[in-house]
Amino acid sequence: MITDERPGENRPLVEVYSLKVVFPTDDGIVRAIDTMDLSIREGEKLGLIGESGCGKTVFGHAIMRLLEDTTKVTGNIVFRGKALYSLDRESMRRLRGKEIGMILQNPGASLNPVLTVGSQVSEVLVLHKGLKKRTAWDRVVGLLGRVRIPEPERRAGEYPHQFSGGMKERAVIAMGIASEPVMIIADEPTKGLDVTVKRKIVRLLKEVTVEKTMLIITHDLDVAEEVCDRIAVMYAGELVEIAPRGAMFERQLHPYVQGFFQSLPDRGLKPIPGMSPSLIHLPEGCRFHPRCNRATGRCRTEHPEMIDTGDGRCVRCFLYA
Amino acid sequence: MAPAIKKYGITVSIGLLAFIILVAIFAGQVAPHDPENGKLDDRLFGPCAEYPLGTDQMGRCILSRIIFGARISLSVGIIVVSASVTVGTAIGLISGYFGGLIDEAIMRIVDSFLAFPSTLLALGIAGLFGAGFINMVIALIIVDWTPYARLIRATVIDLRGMEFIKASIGLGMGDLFVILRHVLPNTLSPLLVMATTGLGYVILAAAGLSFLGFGVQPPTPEWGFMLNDGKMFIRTAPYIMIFPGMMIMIVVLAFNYLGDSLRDLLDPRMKMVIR
Repeated sequence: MITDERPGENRPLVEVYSLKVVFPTDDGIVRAIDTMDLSIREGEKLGLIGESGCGKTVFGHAIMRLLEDTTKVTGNIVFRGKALYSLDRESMRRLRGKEIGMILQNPGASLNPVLTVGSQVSEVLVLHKGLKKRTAWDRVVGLLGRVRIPEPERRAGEYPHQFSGGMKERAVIAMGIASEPVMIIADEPTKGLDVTVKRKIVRLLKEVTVEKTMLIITHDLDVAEEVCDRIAVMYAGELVEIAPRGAMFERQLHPYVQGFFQSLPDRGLKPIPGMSPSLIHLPEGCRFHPRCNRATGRCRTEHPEMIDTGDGRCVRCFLYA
Repeated sequence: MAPAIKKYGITVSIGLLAFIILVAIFAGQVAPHDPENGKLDDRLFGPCAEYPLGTDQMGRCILSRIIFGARISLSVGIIVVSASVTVGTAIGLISGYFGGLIDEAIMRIVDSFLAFPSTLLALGIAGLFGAGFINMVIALIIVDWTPYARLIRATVIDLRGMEFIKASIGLGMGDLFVILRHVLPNTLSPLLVMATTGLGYVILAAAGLSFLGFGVQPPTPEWGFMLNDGKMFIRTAPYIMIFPGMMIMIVVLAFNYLGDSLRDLLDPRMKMVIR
């Protein structure tokens, strides 16, 4: 377990201990998350970054215990002193939404098409705040106003199809924060939004989560740079580098992370050669070695562990051993 | 289908069914004669001023019998379909939402029901229980709930993968709440279509059972049994069979047509084609 706890900092809110998530498919066993150790401090905004299919969404769902029943999870996640994978179903259900709010990717599909937006937000208030349906409505209008939906009184009575993509995302954010959870998991909150809307949503997200702990799952470095205090990068089911935002954007240590940053349009548009490995057939040794231009013989045979390089940084690469 | 038929079809079928339902409700006021006791002197009259659709071999007014028979046919249809929809929906929701072993077990039972021709199965069950209105209704419910369970299960499995269901669970909502509030309302439109078409089918099946003597017992007027009554006279007095037969056909067609139109109306993909 790598703890980057330092004196004077907040205590960790979420601690992940050797988490492994595997699920069987027809093609073989998918090792979606392989031995992950991570802690998120109270009030911290942690960005989990990686390309599609690296296991970052699975991690978000793993915290909420939203994975399918066929999934095998080992290790544990401790949230506020409670080991989530040791809780019974009912205690876990009470925790969802109330203590950890979730903002799922794809706002278009995250709202029920046959219910009004207001009634969907009010459900959360009725459930977690114990409000009566009638009194909840005022709060709903207030919440929709807070996420900057214009004319919230009227909009609350409308259906999701009458909302634009950005507005739906705002409504989904309103649902996520309605119960005032201590932590928010935002999974690709800007997916499918155009650049100007994206910027507004990111600003809103920052605004409504002040003093909250947030795990923001994204592949968008701009979003990460805007919101996060610390950034963790995943590759092929494992964490490869963790660093405070400033340090990460200044200099990346892991060759994959360097490549990832350089592959982005405003940072050189230089693609990393090769393809991400499938999570069913993972390469021996370092998972990145087939694509790495600095790979040595050791990288091919030996799997690197996370190395603490000081200043709150960790990297999974023999270059820094 | 021609656009004009499409456009007016739904109005016509609703109008027709509404008319038949009203007539059935006010049968006592509308029917010109007593449906069960005829005048034996007036046996086997053809359509005339006194008996617009003629009389049967017992001198009973066929029009009055058809009017009172509508009560039986419609109530069988409505009772059987609402019971089947309730049972089928509950079972389909459980099966589709929880999946796994529960689903497997339920679906194998449904399969075994579907393996038999349903009319034959209903006939067997009705035969086992003995003839009569209640037993016929029970027999029809037993064979009729399975397609609804299937439909709902498939819809729920579709929905379960949807983001908003995951979101509801992620927001801490319990299984029952998610099922009733988020899953169920999304299954209503395919269910409505299937239930409407199902009404026609059940009325037809009930008429079939009664025709074979497993349904309503004489002298209660029932369309299927009226067909049976008239079959001896098909050469000499065909109207005894023709009119109740026509009523069955009209009602079944109207329900089928209504079901089709509802599907077109409720299915957004179909809507685009029509526009």
